[in-house]
Amino acid sequence: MSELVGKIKSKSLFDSKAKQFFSTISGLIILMIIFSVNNENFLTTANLLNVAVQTTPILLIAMGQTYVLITGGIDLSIGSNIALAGVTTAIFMKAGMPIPLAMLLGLAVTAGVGILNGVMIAYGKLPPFIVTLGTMTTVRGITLTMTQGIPISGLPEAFNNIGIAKSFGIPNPIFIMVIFAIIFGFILSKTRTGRYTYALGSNFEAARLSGVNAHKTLIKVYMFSGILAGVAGLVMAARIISAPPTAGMGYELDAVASSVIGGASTMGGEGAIFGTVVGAFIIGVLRNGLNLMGVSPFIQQIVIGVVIIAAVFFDKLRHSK
Amino acid sequence: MKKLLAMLLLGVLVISFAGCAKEAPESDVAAGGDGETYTMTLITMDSMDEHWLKVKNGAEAAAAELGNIKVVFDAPQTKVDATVQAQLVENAIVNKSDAILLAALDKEALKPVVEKAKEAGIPVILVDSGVSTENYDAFLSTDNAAAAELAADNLAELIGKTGKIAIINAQAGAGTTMTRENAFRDRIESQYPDIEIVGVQYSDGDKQKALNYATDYMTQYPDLVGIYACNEGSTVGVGNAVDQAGKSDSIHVVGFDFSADVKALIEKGAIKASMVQNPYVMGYEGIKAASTVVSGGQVSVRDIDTGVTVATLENLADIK
Amino acid sequence: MESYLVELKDIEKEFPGVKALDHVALTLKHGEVLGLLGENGAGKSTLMKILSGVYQKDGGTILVNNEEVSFETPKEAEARGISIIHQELNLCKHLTVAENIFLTRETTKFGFLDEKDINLKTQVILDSLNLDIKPTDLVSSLQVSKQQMVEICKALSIDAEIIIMDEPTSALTEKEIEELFGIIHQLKKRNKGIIYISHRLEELAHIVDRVTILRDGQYITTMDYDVTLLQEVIKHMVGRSIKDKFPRVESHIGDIIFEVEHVTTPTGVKDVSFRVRQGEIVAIAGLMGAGRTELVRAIFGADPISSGEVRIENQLIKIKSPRDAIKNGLYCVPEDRKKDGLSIKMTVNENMALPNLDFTTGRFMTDEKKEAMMTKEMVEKLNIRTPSIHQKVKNLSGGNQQKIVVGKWLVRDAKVIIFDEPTRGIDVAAKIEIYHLMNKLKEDGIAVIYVSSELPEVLGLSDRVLVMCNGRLKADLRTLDTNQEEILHFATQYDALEE
Repeated sequence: MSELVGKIKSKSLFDSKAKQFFSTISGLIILMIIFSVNNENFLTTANLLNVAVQTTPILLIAMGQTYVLITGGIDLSIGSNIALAGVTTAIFMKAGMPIPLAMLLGLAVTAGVGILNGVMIAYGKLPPFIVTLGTMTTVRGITLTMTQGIPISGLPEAFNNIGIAKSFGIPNPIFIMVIFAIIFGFILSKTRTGRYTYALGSNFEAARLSGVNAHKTLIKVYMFSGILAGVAGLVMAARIISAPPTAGMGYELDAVASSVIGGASTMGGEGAIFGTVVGAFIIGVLRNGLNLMGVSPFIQQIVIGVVIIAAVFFDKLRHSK
Repeated sequence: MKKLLAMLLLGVLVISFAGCAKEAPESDVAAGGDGETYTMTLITMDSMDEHWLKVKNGAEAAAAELGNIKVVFDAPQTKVDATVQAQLVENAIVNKSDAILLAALDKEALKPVVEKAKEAGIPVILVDSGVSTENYDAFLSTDNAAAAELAADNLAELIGKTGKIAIINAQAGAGTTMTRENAFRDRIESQYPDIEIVGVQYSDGDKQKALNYATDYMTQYPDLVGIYACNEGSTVGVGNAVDQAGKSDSIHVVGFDFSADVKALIEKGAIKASMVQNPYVMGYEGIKAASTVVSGGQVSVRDIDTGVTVATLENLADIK
Repeated sequence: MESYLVELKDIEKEFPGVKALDHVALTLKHGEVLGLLGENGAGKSTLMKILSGVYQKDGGTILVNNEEVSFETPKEAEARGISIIHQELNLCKHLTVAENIFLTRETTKFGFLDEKDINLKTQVILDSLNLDIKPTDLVSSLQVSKQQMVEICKALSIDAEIIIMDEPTSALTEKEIEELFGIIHQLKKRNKGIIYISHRLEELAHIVDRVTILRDGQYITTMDYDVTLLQEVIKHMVGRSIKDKFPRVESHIGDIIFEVEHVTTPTGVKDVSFRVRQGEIVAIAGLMGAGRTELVRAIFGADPISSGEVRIENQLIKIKSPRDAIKNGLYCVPEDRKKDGLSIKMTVNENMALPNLDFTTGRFMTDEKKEAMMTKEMVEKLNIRTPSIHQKVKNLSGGNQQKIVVGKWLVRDAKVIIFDEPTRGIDVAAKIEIYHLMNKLKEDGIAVIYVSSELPEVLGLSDRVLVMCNGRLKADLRTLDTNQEEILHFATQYDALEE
């Protein structure tokens, strides 16, 4: 019997998941082929590493956003959390705290913002859009107040290395990106928390009546988003050796775009980390490739907008078939 | 019932905040002594950029010196929102401010409200960026065109008047930074025929974006010799990009504005020169001019160039 | 030749991989109520969607008043006087009755909405049916039955000649159903043709003239109908005869396992106490709004309890959420399976595994092989008809969906299982399977609590009947000693003081 089960499983897995896999990644591959043909500098190791580093912050926050979108919510506070993590960590480091501790505190603060979002959404039954819109503005205000509007600079060398230095010839942010993508991909696809995330987005009430701890799961999901925004904030601060209170403005929408291009649904229930990785890289490759081709920055915005809508349109088409 | 409670709570909150906010300035004014007190509203492009904080500091210093002036500072929360800025000007008119100091985000969008203020008999002092009307009392600004030409000359000198360069601007459409781009471009094209401008990108003042754009330029043009950046955020992003690529020696960066980050990058050699405006002077002289106008006088020169200083490794210690 | 209002001939419709309708025919006369019968998946809804322009037919002809028509959109069908009232009502709850009836057909004066005019027109329609509804009432303030009347008024407002009603009584009480039947009689007198879809075969006898029966997308027969033909109709519907509709089993009734003491809830349950023994099926009867669902939701932890206690095997258990109930072997099959029971966008396997991940998950990782094995076993045990365990639940019939909701609990050791209206909106064959399942649980010594509005079902299946009215428990009756009249007597015993 288990053999039979195995057969059923692998067959249908191929049908649905493999199709999704190929359709998502084919867009990225086509894009890369177009750019390699058009520009000899695109397909070089240096440039590809570059694209990866440039995509790192967007991918980190997009993974958090993916979790949130799957539950049927949205997290608008991501951009502000990016600044909050950088600024908090910078202040503690400048106060002489050991760097790893300061970084953990920075992440703890953004995790806290995420938990707060989750509590208000789960227990307060407030709409996620409104709650995170509120924290987005509040957190930005707090960050500006903490810094009096002035970027915190002169960060320690060891911290900057996180964003700049290379290990084994590969820039550190890429390692960070890969590690977090593996961790959060694993949680989403292979743990109960991940399964509950999908269940909540598919039918909140049915999940709750099936014994899913809905509140706890929601809070966890928003906490993940807070932590990932924090990690992105630290990487960004380390890259520019400065923690500006204005960092990350508007990034939450890049995160939504990456998730959605990668197959997540704003209606909840759908999405995957692998798709989001591809989605973030489609945006990253697109920006880099268009820059290299010397396409006007104004035209670039048009192209990216069209790609977002086209991606969702084709996804819908594929689903309705 | 619950709603009522919430409203009540909100009311208490607002009142207590308003209380805190009021106390400090009032004691200030009292110290100002005899005669009439003037309230002057300073409206900048945003409340975050260090540049505007320096304008504010200058304005407050002048107010403290004069004694009978209270400065109210206001700005849109984030950049590029001329509508919000226009509302702030209207608020100042409604509140019967004695003078308005304005750094206009958009020279057309702010024109109607500036004229409205003048009609209401309120003196308008423009700082940093102008408005397309003749109806103002004084305009203190960096002559951005002149500064951009100076930047062009500096960069040309650094690269031996030949080679490829790129431009990282801030906002497309913002008057000041567009002038910096266009005047720079004109100067290069007319004076240095051997220099090629390969392109321009707009970072929105976001350091990450500027860093990414500069990196992409270096990838695309391995023979790039210079990058010109049009504001503080762009300058820092570009400086970091060049530094991280280890190309401080081969690529020369000339930027705009000054901050702790810019300073650090000049020290490292990643930025060769930055055009430093004098925002403090704008704020300081702006209040002085406003004070002259409200007490019935007239300013001798209406359009005042507050000048730029070229910050380099040599004179770094002297830059404020 | 007889003249028909509607005549469908050889209608064909194919969905990817499924022949939904295969040469189906149907006729409807003026002033007639035609019952359209068939199990879920027989093709009733598809046929009606074709007639009302929601779907397009792949073959066949549609004649309306002897004229061949073909509808591309519901709007075109409406223009031909065809109106459909769906099981899930299509009303905007935050608008008034009149605004709903004239939605998209608002009258305007100088470009402004003329509320007065539509209110007036609505009043005329309401009066013609003697309805106690005001045009300015918000739809959200009306009971479901009244909302249904609003839908009927909407149909009348466009001069519909043909009105299709899909399961109109599924959410109504006896009294409301009578009211609806009164209205349907009036519509008949006005010479309208009505197509009436229902699973409640007994109730059909009061209202329909003829029935057309479909099975597996095929036309079976059309016959004049009265209640004596019930068995024959069932035989046609399921393709076999069913001798014993309610197969009661006798089993050993054991010790008291479940006690509810003085439970009161914010949702309107007042001081309810009862006990259930092992191997006993206890039905909770009552009218809509009697507080039955509220009671079982509260004891399952879905809603809060303001006071009272729940004991399982003499152990007091604190139930703050469904998790607490589940931990103690108390499970619930909720009333509205699509809203509360299933994630219809997810697969059979994902739904089945959801509450059981604690069994299948290893230290960190979920084990999809184990889940699939568990699901496969349950699919076979409950005879759930699905092409694969990775099929999305929304593609299955109501009966099979219901079996999934039940099945996900049967994986676990159960002490008490609550079924809230488990047979609502599912076909006859699936109903019988659910009955057998409940009997099987009873034989295994599980306490079964069972909420139902179908009194024949309650009387045929349960050992005891608890009757509720207005949030209170009014009677605790031995099923064998009672009858419909007695149950209804208690179900309408409103407290004078409270009313």
